Amino acid sequence: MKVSVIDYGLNNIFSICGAIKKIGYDPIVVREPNELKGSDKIILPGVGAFSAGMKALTKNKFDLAINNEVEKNVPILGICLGFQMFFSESNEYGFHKGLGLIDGKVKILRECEGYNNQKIPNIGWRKLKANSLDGIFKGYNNDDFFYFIHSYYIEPNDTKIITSQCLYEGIKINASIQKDNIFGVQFHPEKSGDIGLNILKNFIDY
Amino acid sequence: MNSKTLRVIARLDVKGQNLIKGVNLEGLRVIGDPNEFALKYYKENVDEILYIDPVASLYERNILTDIVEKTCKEVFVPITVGGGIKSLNDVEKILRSGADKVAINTSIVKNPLLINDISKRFGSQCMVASIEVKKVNDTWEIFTLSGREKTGIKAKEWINTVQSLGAGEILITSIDKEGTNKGFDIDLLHHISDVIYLPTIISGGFGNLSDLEIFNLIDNIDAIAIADGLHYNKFTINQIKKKISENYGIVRL
Repeated sequence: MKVSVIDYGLNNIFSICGAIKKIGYDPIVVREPNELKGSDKIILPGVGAFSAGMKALTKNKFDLAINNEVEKNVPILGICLGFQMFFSESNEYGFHKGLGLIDGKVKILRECEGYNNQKIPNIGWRKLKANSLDGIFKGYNNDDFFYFIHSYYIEPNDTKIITSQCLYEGIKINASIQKDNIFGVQFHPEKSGDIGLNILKNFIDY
Repeated sequence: MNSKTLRVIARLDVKGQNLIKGVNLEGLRVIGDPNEFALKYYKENVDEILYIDPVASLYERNILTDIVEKTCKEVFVPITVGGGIKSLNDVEKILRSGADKVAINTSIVKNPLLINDISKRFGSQCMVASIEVKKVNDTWEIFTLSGREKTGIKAKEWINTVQSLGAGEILITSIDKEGTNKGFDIDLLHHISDVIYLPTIISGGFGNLSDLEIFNLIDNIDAIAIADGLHYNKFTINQIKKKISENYGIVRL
């Protein structure tokens, strides 16, 4: 099983790899686009600003390599910024184009429906409600907390691909999606204790 | 009762390879291996780990990357690292070793625009403004170099500055209360709470479960960081969280 973790310089490789090792797999850190070939699973982690992330991905043509593998039906999991970059566009510090794997937008939390002066960034453990306890949520009791740390959230054009939402002091924030072989989570499974490790395991075993 | 989800953070002050603890940020005593303590707190469901090297800026020492790398192999909650961080390069090194956030005090006081540079590059969510405050005459001022250097800058003014420059979170340490176990600095927190709009962690003074009443007194606090209350086994994380969930707000148990 080749589990590739894409390292484009702006992400927290060490903790995601630590988490994957903990659940019994040996992750491969991929720093060149051609090393993505032959992956069974791909993980695109990420912290930081959208434009800096996209710049780093496009600079060495990782964007093309990722699109290529996704077309070949290789399951991919985006985490936090990695997830947001799947979308068509973001308005973080100006307008920026994303990878375009998912039609939709990345917006500041202030624009979320029902926003009522909740603090931004949304930092902390939030209760997560999954729409179905399949896929990456297999075995989830649907009543637990995951760690979130973000100022922007995703809004897909096709709301049917949303697989979970978190509750943040009265507002519901889209927390994950699945579209065919494309998975994305806004929370950090590698920082959400055992329950987070289980999400990663479900993805790798998918 | 607060409708917020509150966080309990274990604060581990580290010098060299050792977990240490001081009083009023001075007089440091060795307690043990920081990794062992971090793992213990992780198993007890701590919400985050905060590593601070309190004398790093003073001696221009290197940073905690080795310890963080080790921690990340077994501890799967967020880790914040502070002490001696001066540049984008330092931030990158720390984040790549597995930390999620950096807490910076001295360097952002010297160069406030560093806040902006860090948030633009790594996202504001990882830029924690660490603010060490002490009462001077009738007001509160911020100090650098782990409480050693007076700046003359008023606490409220500085909070406004770090917020407008793009910090993502604020860590307030009361130098007067730190290590005393005499409760959080209620007067200070009353004084500053109306200007704070970022997620805020308070640190310094926790000594009794009744000190958690701070969450009722001031509704603008999102997290507490506890050091010797945990290190000396005075309380378990579970005891603290249970008390919070019964009286003050939501916690992940």
